[in-house]
Amino acid sequence: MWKVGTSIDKYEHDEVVIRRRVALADSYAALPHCPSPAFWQCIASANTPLELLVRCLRDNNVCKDENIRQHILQIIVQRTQIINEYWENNVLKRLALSADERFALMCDLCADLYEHMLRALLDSRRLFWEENFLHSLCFERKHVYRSFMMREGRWRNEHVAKGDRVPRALVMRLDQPIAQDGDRPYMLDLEDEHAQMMLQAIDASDLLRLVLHLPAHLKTVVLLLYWEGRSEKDIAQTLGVSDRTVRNRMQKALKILRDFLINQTEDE
Amino acid sequence: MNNEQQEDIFHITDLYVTEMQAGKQPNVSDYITRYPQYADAIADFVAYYHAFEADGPATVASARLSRVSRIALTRALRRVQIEPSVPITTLLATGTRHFTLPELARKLDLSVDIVALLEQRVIDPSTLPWELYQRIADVLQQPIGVVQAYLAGSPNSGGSEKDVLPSMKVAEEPALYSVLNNQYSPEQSFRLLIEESLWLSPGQRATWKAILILEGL
Repeated sequence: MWKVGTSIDKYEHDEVVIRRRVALADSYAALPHCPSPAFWQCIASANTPLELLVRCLRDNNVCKDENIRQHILQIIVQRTQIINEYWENNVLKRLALSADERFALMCDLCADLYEHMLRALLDSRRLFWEENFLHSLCFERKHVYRSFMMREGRWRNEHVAKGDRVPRALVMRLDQPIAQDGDRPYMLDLEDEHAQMMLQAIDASDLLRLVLHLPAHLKTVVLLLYWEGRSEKDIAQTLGVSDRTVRNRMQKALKILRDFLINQTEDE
Repeated sequence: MNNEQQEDIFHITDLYVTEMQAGKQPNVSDYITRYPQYADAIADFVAYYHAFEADGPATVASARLSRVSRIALTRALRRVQIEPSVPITTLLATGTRHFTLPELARKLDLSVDIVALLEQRVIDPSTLPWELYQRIADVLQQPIGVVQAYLAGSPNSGGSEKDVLPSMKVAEEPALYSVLNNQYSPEQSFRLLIEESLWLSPGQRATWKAILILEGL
């Protein structure tokens, strides 16, 4: 691990991880006996780390019967409900949907997330959940987001040709003026200027959603160029490739994104 | 991508998120410069994180289940049939002593994935250190010869995966860092597993490597 980073990174982070593990182990050892009232009071407390709840869930000495397991699961769902629903709203907010359709999709997405979360929580091989619950949940949501969008036909890439609908707001933004670095338009010397203009007219948050649809090696270039504002030369240096490679990747990315945006417009 | 790489990405992105939450505004390019072998994975995570996660609530708080959550949780529970974990196989259920994988892993100071492979007898027995035989014998209260005979036996003649895991009715796509059962080919060396296991802590890895060196394996 940490092969390229400096040794300081490695040791500092390892120390943080070890400290976190020790603290969690101590807290776990200090839990009152299950199923005493003190145990449930502790488990239901907002101050109890979620990682401890996962460990309880996986420990047969604690979860002696199914009721205890179900109860702990419900507490975990209750404690993560607000962040999960924020995420679900965020995923669906750009989709042009009727109220009924939105509610139905929201339930589907939420059920998918809970299903994945329950499976992960009950799988004792998934040790990250006992170490860093919220980051594990973030990865799970990332996975669920992608599979949900693909299943709903809302994910376009070279392997998935069909897509349905796109946010109208996104298409509207294509007509907005381009501005970067204050009022000065920023243009690369690329053949596909139209696609580039389209991209630069899009809000940063929408750009990130688009970038997610690109193949991995193109994603990095677009992210560094349009989101972080790096120059072509900087990117080439960062990635250890030539300027020409960066330019080629940008052209490929722009072509894909242009097709994506045009298809969206036609669908609308 | 192997387990070690997935673990790296998990920790690198955790660092990124921690810095973001501390208000440090980390640069993606800095991370890519430091970890060029993970450039694509870092970019993928960062794009996703800023699109959907970055502005979310930072803390978790308990709340009564909303209508959406109630409906969704009912559906999810129906899809995931939960059964209590059961003791497994001839190695882990001996006489009056019953162990689950995590329990035995803790007692042996090993990770769950390696214990599962031991139990399936798909690790080359000649690569196992004597220390491990001894620990298993102590924990199971069996003669070392019995343990040796068991681990030298034919693979998969004991329990199966369905004995170990909660049953799942719906096929699930593997998550980013899940351990796949077919990830190890039969008769792999113990040393390789120690080096590649996602679940061993750095301390455990170092300890087992030292034992292997000590025993000339």
